[in-house]
Amino acid sequence: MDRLLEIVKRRMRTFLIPFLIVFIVPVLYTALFARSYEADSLVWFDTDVSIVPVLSQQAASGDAGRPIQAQADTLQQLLQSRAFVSKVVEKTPLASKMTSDKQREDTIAFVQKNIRVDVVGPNSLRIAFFGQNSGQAVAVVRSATNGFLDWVRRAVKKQNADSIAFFTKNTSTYLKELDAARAALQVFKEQHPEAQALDIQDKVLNAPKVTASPAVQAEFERLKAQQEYAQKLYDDSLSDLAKTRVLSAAKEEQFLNGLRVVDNPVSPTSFSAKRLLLAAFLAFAAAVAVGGLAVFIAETRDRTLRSGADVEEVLSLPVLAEIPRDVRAGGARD
Amino acid sequence: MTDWAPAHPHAGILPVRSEVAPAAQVTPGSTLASTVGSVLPIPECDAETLAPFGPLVSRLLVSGSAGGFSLAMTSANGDEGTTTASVSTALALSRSTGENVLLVDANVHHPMLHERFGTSNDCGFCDLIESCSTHAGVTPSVSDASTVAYARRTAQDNLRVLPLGAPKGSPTALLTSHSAHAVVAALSDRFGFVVFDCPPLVSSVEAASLCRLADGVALVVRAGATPREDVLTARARLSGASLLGVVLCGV
Repeated sequence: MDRLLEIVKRRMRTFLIPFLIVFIVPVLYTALFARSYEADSLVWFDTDVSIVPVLSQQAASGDAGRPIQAQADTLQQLLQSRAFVSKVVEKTPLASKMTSDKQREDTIAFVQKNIRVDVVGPNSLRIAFFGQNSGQAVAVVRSATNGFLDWVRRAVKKQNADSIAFFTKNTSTYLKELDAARAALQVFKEQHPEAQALDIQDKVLNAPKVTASPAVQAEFERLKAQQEYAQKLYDDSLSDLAKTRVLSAAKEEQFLNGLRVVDNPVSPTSFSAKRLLLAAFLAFAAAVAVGGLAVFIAETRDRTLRSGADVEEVLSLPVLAEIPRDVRAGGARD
Repeated sequence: MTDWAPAHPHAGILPVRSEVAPAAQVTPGSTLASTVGSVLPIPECDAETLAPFGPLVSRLLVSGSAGGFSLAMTSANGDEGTTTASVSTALALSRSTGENVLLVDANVHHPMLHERFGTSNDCGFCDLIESCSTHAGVTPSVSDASTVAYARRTAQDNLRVLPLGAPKGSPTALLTSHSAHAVVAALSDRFGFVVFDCPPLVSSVEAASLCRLADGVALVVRAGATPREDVLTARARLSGASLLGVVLCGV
């Protein structure tokens, strides 16, 4: 460690010159030519976030304990979609830059690179954008936020519609089965009059007792039970469908009312220091590495004698005197 | 004014001179002070600055022979701190041993000692060598008077400084001549310690020659600046010299 400090002290100029160049140039460039302006919005889910649909199972598998993270992942995936980002950009001043396919691609890539989604607490998302000017930043955040909310609302409605469609289809299926069971029983009754009499006996109180053959009796009871079962299924399905319609409507209303933007994007008055700090940090790390490399190269290439030990090793001669740096007798350097 | 004794070309006696005036006028605010007959100021140097040279002084005391000891301080390349190390070593020796110490500027490419001590460089080591006779059959010799004349006194009583001077001919030929050998030997006889601030080894030829004349050599290396290859080349060029060790500057 002492040797390292001694080397650093001796090679301070060799270290500092490349260090300052590598550190100052990118920081100055970022500060003067690569300024960015940050705008952000906060989206609040004032409802059970877990019921909100997600884009894909991949998004949903992130963190079961944090449904809001699934929403953040969903938005991240939406932002990877060129179609979604293109729609976002069309409502901002950046749309004027999309005059050709290449410019469109570049603009979409620029937005994708500079937009951020963060989870803030259990119920909210923050959407931020680093733009080239404050107006651009605000417009992109607003458009992205509205685009996301529209998507969520459409997704919730679709989810409810799908659910209703499922139960409707079930009900339709059970109705067909019920109709088939009824038809089968009716045909049997027409073919076997004593079955008809058994049916009346079941339905009418104090009807005369009918004696039918055991086979007919058994078949009648089987068909009757089949019909009753099909009826039950149909009735249950109808009930489920009705409940689903009511609940879905209520949830949809509750969700859509509870989903809102609590912090609208505000036009930034000064450029963002985050990028500058990041650039400074990275430049510092690179500068230390470059400065260290310069010192290493200088030390490796150093062919001079630096100490008494070097003298004795190279020349095999004793050291008669070691004069400290800057000791002069008589003023002038010789 | 100068005083000159009659010269005897065949006897090899150097003329006697008194302290000479500096060749250039001293301008206000300049680092060179007027040195006519004056004592040179010692460069600012406290005990803390000289403390690192303690081990070197100890080593020299151990290596010292019966007479004086001449130490050549050189480096692989220029700008490694050789002059500073030479000045500090000379000061440390003069203060801690009490012996007479002479600091000689032998760096023909970049003489600095005269500036450090605020004196002129119009005469010195090279003049001493040139004045030494080289006639056939006559052994070059240096008189006490000429040595004392050329070597400047300093505020430290037992420390003298001999600047490089102005060589008339080729410095390389001068410093590799027999006369140079005689001068170095004579200086070592007269002073307890003689410290030579020599030029860098890699870029000059005379440095190695001078180092071989000295009783010991200290190689100055600047930590973190001198390539290993240059230091090894310098060491190779010091073959035949008595290399005592390394002074490591800027640790």
